[in-house]
Amino acid sequence: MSQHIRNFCIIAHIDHGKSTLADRMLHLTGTVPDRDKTEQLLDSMDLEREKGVTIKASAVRMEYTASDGKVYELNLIDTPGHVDFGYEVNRALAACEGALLIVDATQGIEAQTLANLYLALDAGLEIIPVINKIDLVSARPDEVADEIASLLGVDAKGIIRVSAKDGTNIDQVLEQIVRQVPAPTGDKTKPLTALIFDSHYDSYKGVVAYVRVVEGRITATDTLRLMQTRAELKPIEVGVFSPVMKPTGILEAGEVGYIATGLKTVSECHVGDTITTAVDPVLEPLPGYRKVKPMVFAGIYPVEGDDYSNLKDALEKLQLNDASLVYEPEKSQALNFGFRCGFLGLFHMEIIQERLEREYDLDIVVTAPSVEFEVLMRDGETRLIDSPAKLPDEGEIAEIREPWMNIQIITPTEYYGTIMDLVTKRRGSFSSQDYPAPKRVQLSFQIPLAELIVDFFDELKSRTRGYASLDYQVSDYRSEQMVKLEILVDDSSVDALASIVHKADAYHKGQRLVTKLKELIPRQLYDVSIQASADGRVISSAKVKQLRKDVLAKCYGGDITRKKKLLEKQKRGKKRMKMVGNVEIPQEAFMAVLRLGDD
Amino acid sequence: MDRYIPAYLKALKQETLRVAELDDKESEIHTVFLGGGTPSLIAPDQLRDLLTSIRAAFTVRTDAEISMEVNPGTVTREKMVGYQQLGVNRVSLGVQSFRNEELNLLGRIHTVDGAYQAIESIRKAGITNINLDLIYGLPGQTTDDWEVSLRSVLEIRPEHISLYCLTIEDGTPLASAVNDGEIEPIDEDIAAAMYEMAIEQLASSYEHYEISNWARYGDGVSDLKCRHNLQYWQNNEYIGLGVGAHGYFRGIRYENPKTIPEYLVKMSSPGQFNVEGSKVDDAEKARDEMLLGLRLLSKGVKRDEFRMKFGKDFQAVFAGKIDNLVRSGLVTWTDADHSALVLTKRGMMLGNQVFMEFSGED
Repeated sequence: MSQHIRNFCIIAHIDHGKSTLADRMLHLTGTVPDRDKTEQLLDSMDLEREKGVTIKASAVRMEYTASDGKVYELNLIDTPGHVDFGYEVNRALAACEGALLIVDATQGIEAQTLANLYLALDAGLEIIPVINKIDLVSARPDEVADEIASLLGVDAKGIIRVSAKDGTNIDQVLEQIVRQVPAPTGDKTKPLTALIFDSHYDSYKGVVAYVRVVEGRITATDTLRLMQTRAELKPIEVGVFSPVMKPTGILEAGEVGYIATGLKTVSECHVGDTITTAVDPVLEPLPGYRKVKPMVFAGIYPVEGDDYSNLKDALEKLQLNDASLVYEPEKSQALNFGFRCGFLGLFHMEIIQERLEREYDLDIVVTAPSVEFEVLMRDGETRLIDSPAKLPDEGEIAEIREPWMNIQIITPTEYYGTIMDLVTKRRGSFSSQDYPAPKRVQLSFQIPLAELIVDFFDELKSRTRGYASLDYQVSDYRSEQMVKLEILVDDSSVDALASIVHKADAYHKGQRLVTKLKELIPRQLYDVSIQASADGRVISSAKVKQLRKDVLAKCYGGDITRKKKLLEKQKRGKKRMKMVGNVEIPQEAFMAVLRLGDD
Repeated sequence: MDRYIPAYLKALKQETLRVAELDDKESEIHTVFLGGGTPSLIAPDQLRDLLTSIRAAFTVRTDAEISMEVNPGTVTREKMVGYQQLGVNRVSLGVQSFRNEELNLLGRIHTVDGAYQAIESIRKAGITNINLDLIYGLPGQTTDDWEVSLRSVLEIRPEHISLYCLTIEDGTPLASAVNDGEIEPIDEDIAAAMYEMAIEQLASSYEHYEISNWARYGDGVSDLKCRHNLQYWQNNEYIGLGVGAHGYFRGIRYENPKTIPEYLVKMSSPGQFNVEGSKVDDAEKARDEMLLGLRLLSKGVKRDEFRMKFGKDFQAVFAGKIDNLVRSGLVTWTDADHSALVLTKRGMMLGNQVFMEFSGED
């Protein structure tokens, strides 16, 4: 029955043309008529389009008449394209039997593509390599074909070469999907097991779960059970994306579609959870489930205290569609009421920050990101600390363990030295190297996550002029000599400026932070002293001298109105700053630690 | 530009008459200020016409202060005699600096010698009240450089001195030179030192009566403060005439068209002429009273004057603000009765920190 179904996804690096290729396939199969074409259908959020990445996975059903004359149901499962969303990618892959590996003919394979490719191979997927952008003058498809061939052990000549932009050879891609991707196995008469690989929130239908039916069938009248959360539900609607939601009333083994669950939050509907029926449940859930765990933490505060409830509403709304965003109320002496938020990674954090500012029009202060430390107390208790302000007194701590990561960087060989230097400066250590293609090297390192989240990626890009790509996975927690680096402004410690750093770096970081803060904090009515201290010792100090002259020289009849506007502007600037004690601190100061650079 | 002058003067006369018609209080005019741009470009004959229409339209007091802004590059003895005969009794001369290098940087057409000649011509024409404008805080200027100009002005002993710290305005060539990193703006501490230096050196012969203005101590008969500018700082009304002029009349702050063609069109269009601008409500007027009045260093804002104008006590109107400013040492009471509020020396250096509190709504 499911012989005509092909479930596949696309693995590609950002900007290698995944969305354009998907659009071409949708048009070619008549799923979307050209006149309805909204550019890049799979990326629905503006922000995603701007950043050139897909944040939420989607699934689209296409009908394709192959050269054998038969009609096939092709389900394209989109995967998020960023390193922060590794688990989501992993679950999307588990819903497929095949994957298109898209490689840019001008760039070659990138680290993240490679990482996802290995995930796909692990998941037993059939890989169809495709070289894209052959229309570009700088394309070097032969070289890239050799690179892929040596990687996958396939014949370089057999690799499809396309231009998603002008439509060249897209039909071949569809044809190869039909020929090479295995039809799903699975028995629709067995008890139901279905995998949730994504979800979104719909204001009418509640949480819509994206599912792949592995065994059995789902009908709109069944009572369904989510095995991890143990929630039971009556679906409001069952259907497929073609590409908009279209009710079908039934999904059978091998099929991909959606269930409108009626659940109120996506956190009740975990990616990777298994759905079965209440009347005839299976005992074992599908393998691979993991509860999403935030890796990066930061405080988000409204600039104006009045905006607290707006910020809360905005976070609630964002969380509706993003189960990986976690937050809880937090109070800072410096910044008052706000939220401690947890993110999958720095990129995820940036997206949330931008959405709060742009979509919800909020003025926010985001504090420097932190990782979660495991703190072993002298009394034997282990505490998880995601905020420097919460680090217990040194005397009570037996040991601090910090998360370490495995990272892979693929780069042209000429940047080998500068990358080694960058990683070493960040306490990283070299693990191995590999040459996937001539003049390209894959370097593997181990590095503390804390070093990775402070502008590592920007620094990597700037050192390699954008050529290096990065992927990372959690490795382990290691006991390290960590200390709390405190910043004192006018002799009182400012909680929102504290950080947890390695003892060996405390002196250097403290000095640079003080220098940076001295630049950022404007002169005020009184001298302001800034100090960095760690281990109860002052490391560095500086003084922002008091204002000496700030007065409009001219104020006559001809310009009173204009001068008043200038004063109002100055007043607004002052109001945007945060009052900490008697000192006005501009918002940028709270992110200063991110901009220390690597000197 | 010259070809516009006759048409422009005609429009200016028109405007004078029409504004005067609106003035139902028939105000007595006690100062006239010819300024903005380079009024000394017009010939005395043309000025005669203008002053005649002003005198015809309004009641101008016989002892009125009639000032003219003059660019040293445009001065001739004959012209000055002509102006003086028409009643101009005060000249404000834009000398800017007594160092040619600085005049060059400022893009001025005159030289130091030219300034001295201009001063001589003005005095010889019988105009006895002269103000000299100087600028300090130029990029690259040292305190020694500044002292050269200060000494020169003290030797000349003009009746009035205005000293302005250079502000780099957006959109000017200087601003782009600063943005491009070609010119380094002066350090705040150096500019402060220059200001303090001027205050100190002028103190023995001049009264520092406004943030940027000094009047020579009088002979006991006449007060040499600029009456016209006092009108602004005391938050009183004034009529602005001509292209780009600003006025504060019948409770409205208004601005005339900025270009001559637009101005000519507006003044020649028939129908109801009215002053258009923004009405100053009582709250804003009270704030203006503070931020303008505090510029007057020894007078400040008087409690009884404020009450007369607004019917309320300023401490009630500005709730905790005044107390906070007193506490931070930026303003102080003149006496134990708290009869007037003035800037402290520190407040004078940091005036914006005070004025800001009275600008815009909270």
